[in-house]
Amino acid sequence: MFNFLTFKSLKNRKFTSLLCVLSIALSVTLFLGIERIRNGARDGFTNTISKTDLIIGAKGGPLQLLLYTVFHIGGAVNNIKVSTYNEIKSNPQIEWAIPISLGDTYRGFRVVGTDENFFNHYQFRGDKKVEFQTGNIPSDTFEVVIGSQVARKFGHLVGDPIVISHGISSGAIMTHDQTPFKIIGILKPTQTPIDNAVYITLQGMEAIHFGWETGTPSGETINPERFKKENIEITQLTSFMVKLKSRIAVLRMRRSIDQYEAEPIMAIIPALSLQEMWETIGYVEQILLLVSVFVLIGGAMSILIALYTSINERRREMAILRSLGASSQNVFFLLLYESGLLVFSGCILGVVNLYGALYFIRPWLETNFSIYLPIEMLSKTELYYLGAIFILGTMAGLIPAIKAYLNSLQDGLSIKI
Amino acid sequence: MTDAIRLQNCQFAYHKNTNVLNIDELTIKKGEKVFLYGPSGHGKSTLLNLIAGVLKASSGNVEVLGQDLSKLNQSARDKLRGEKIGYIFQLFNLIPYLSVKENIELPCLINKKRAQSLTNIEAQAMALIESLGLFDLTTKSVTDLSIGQQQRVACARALIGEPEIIIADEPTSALDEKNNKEFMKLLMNEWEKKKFTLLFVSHDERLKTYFDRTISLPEINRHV
Repeated sequence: MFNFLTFKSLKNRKFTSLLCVLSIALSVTLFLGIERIRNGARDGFTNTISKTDLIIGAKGGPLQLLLYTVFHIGGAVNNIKVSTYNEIKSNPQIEWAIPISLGDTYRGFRVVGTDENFFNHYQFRGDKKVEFQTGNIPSDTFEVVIGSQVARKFGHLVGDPIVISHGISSGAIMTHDQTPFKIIGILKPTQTPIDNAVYITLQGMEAIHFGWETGTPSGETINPERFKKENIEITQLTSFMVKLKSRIAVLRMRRSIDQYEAEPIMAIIPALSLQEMWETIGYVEQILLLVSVFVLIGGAMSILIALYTSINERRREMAILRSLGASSQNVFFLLLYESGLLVFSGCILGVVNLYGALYFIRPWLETNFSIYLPIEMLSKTELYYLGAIFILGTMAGLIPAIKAYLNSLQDGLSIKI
Repeated sequence: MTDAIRLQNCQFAYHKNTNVLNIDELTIKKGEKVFLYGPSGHGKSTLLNLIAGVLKASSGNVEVLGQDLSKLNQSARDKLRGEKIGYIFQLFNLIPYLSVKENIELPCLINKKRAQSLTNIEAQAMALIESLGLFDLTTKSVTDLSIGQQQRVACARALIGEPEIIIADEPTSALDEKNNKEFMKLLMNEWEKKKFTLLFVSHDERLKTYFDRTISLPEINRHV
């Protein structure tokens, strides 16, 4: 009885019903979509770097150290000596160390001097490693590997020559045009700052500054022998990342680094710092959550309005049903069933829309905001949300249902027009 | 047990001390066709709601087909109505979003027992459609029907499943002279065939010639 009548009745008011379903679907899509983006942004951010236990650099702000080492934002006040790096690296508790040398840019993208450890050990989003689209790890002085965004933006291919600019200000006018690099590899997209950087060897970083000891090019011609990798001596680094053999040793190691006597250096635990940093900017997350809750309430209101406004014009219908043997409870459940059906269809359509929308905005979010959103099955939490939305929407139908119930009690078999 | 409807010392009040109905005795036998003269304002709706089991008497007895309604709960009264009573309103009898045939079959959908007595709902619906001259309208939307046609569909719906009692509440008062006569003729034809108990309520006294007996509500309802 309910199925037949509800279906026919909704079909009769198909335009209103459709609008109602669409409005619920829209709220469901927005709510789940915002949730996914929220989680994606947080996961993406806090997983920009993983498996690294400590980041070590010159004493200064911990946040600053995190920003320039991992996100390539801002710069270090001081560099550290290579001897420091070598000494800490030789500590038996260290599993691996990745040196980082910063200071130059390529057309606005950061140049990172590092060694093969970066390509072999750096991890993000859990256990993802840096992978090559094409090419190999740079080994010679003037070889460079570029991130996927850099390659995409300038249409670079392996073999292209590039010239690096001196300094990190966006309008850098001094270029290392005496020492062009050759692209020998392009990295796969990672949706992390890696995509927006170019990677050269530590030797390359030293070599482009030969004759720049005063801060500007001296103009002298450098003997090509000096550019040979084995002839280049590295003197300083910006920072380095380490992984310890045992997690338990991390805090002790951090303390000993903070008290390192030969040079003022400090260590931060990236996972912790990322978490702290997200919390300071996390109010955005709260606002998003709030917005999505309001969107949902709006959806529930649309059901309430659609059904409630129809109650009076359906008073007659309810009296007829009662004359045919329906009880007031039947009338109540008929209305509730209608709202339930509307919300249910809205939820289904909303989920379909969600996947449709994800499919289309995913590449855009990845390239523009580095938010990585995998197309996954609905999570348990999302199913709970859907359940809650279903209940909320059906509850909104409760008010018209109660109204119809009271009407039918009052009217009995008298037809009110 | 030959009474279809029996009221004894029946009183009904919506609020304390404001009785709208006070009937000492009203008996309608099975198979009788009774004209109930009821101008508005004499507790007509209340009486019909009591007989149909939508309202419950404040005091006294209302018996329908031997069942004391005061001893039944609301849901049992709803079931009894659905199973045994066919009801025709003055106007707007039909569910607008159902077709003519769906409207006629609706009582069988709401009350399973009404359907049980039928071997074939479809066949009986078609038979009623045939005998009430609705054949061309079967698949039409009810909103496209004239008022006369609508009342005939309502009549068919009340009759499906052969309920023992038909209550018609001013079924002809919205009809013109010609449709009025036609409706009465069809209703009487059906009564001849099935001999159900017919309680026909109207303020139009001219119609009483069709009936076995006339009861005047202003006379039996002592209250107003």
